[in-house]
Amino acid sequence: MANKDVNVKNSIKIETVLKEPGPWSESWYNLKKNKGAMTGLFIIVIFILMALFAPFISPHDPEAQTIAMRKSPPLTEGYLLGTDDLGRDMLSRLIYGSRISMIIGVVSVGISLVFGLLIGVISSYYGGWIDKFIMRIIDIMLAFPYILLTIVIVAILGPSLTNAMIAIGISQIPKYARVVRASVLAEKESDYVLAERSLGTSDLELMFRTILPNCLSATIVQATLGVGEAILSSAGLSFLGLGAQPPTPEWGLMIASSKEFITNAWWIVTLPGIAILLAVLGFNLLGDGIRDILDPRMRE
Amino acid sequence: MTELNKTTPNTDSENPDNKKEILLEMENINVSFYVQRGVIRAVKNLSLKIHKGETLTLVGESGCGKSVTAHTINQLIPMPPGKIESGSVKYRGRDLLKLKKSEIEALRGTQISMIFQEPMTALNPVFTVGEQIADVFMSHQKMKHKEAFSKAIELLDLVKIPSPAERAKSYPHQLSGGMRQRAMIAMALASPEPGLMIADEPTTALDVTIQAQILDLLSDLKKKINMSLLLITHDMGVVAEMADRVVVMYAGSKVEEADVFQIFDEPCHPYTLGLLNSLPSNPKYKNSTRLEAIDGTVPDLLTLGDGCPFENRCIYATAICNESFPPAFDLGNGHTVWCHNHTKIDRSTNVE
Repeated sequence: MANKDVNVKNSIKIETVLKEPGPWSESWYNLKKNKGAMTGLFIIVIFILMALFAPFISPHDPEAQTIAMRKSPPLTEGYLLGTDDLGRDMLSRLIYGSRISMIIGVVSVGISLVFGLLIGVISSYYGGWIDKFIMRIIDIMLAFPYILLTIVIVAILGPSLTNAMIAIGISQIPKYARVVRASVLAEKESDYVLAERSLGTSDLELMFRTILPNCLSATIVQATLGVGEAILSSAGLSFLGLGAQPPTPEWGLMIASSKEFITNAWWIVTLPGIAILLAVLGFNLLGDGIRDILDPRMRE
Repeated sequence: MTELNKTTPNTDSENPDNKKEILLEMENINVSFYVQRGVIRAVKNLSLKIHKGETLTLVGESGCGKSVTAHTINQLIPMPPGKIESGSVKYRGRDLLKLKKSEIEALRGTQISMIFQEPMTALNPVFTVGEQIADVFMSHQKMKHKEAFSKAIELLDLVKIPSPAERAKSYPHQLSGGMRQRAMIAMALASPEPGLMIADEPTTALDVTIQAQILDLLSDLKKKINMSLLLITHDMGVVAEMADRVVVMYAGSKVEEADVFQIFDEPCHPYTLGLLNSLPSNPKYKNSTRLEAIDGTVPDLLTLGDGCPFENRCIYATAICNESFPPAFDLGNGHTVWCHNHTKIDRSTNVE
């Protein structure tokens, strides 16, 4: 009797062990083991929460000026991180700034991702002169230094935050197109593509339903790293006066408008810099981690 | 499975009913590939007929044009570099080569389906098996996802996959080779009226016991839904097991065509004879350990002359073989051979 019980227990145990993890839970398990990626994810989650709940957690209106309190150092009562040259609360401005930066990151990466995927898939799927034509245009875009290309596009569209996002998005398209094209080139010769074609699948379905999902891993990494890069670029553009316009609490703009105070009120220029650094670091760490778990060769 | 003797003759093949409906008729097909080094004539003047409910096997060694022939039927040949130079492929009277792209797409997967050699790579790794089968139903028959998925489970059951409802939720890498090949077959059956199934070496990548199961499954299904089968193989054992009629190909040309008994009893082409002689189960190997192979290799298709392509490896070759491609010699009963010297063939070493 006792024996039987043991057997039953064992079989239950075996059943649970045999249950295969889904692809998502497996990836999550691998990601959890990667300390760098988890640090990155932690930073990103904090920034995202800050962005989402900005009105509830920021102690002051980010644009409200209290001239009497201008250039208060950090830890002044009521102003945890001090105030800037116009007496605006630094903490509130940084919190609202995260909102802008996250939006910039997502929107500009979204633009380059959508167009990059489309261009890359079409170019490599059809091959021939279509591929040559598209890739030469991509080559021309890549021939310009990235920041120069962005500046040129903003200069044409006119300086504003929206246009900066569009410009960053457009100038990043070649990168995504290249990455996607390379992986589609490898995948489109696979047997399963031929097999699905033999089942009467149309070109459009083959491109976007059959092949594309198999090419996403490289793109996901690229996109995660791209968000950090976009935040950095938009800060750069705003610093040059081509992105966000005052009084928007954009981090790059905050640095630009307070750079002359670096000697007597260091926090006004340093804190937005640290915010940019943390956000970019977070996305880079996460991107590296995702690359590690998506590439079987990097696994231990 | 490699048992060559057919103890219970298949009634279908014993009385080839000539009045049977012709399902597919290929006539004078020429397919070339334009590569940097020149033009490769992969298939030359090939004609084939497949009747309804019949199994036709295409036999030949690697690179002799078997797969190209199959891919010509549902037009999977990459163009360029490939080109179908001439000929016609009539399926139920319609010339497939004249159809529009969308019409071909509608025909593939509904009437002509295909299974592939490598079940390891012929399924999409990022979707579950059930999802992939359901996709075929959804795109061709405009089914709702739920209905299509339950149909997919039915099909997995039909191809004898155990606990089909659970397996439908598996990804291809979670299945064994045999199961994947069954899933491939299920996918090929996902149509209202499968007319012709093209099986391109469906058992080559599988181990022997699984091979037998898959072949059994194919012949079962063939009977159940009355479809025709174009089976491509280089395994004469598979031919003996499955075929009604056999077409032997060499270097892009048909060299012999006959029903399965004629091929094994009275092969008339030196190449067919060579294939049979190299079978390990041939009784003449009872006391010897060394297999007889056909000497030499397949000629380079780029530099092939006008003569018989087998001439350089053929022990019966005479002067005429180098000069002209042999005409068709009709030996009666649908047995045709393309060999100048077919009367001189020594069959004393033939398989029983």
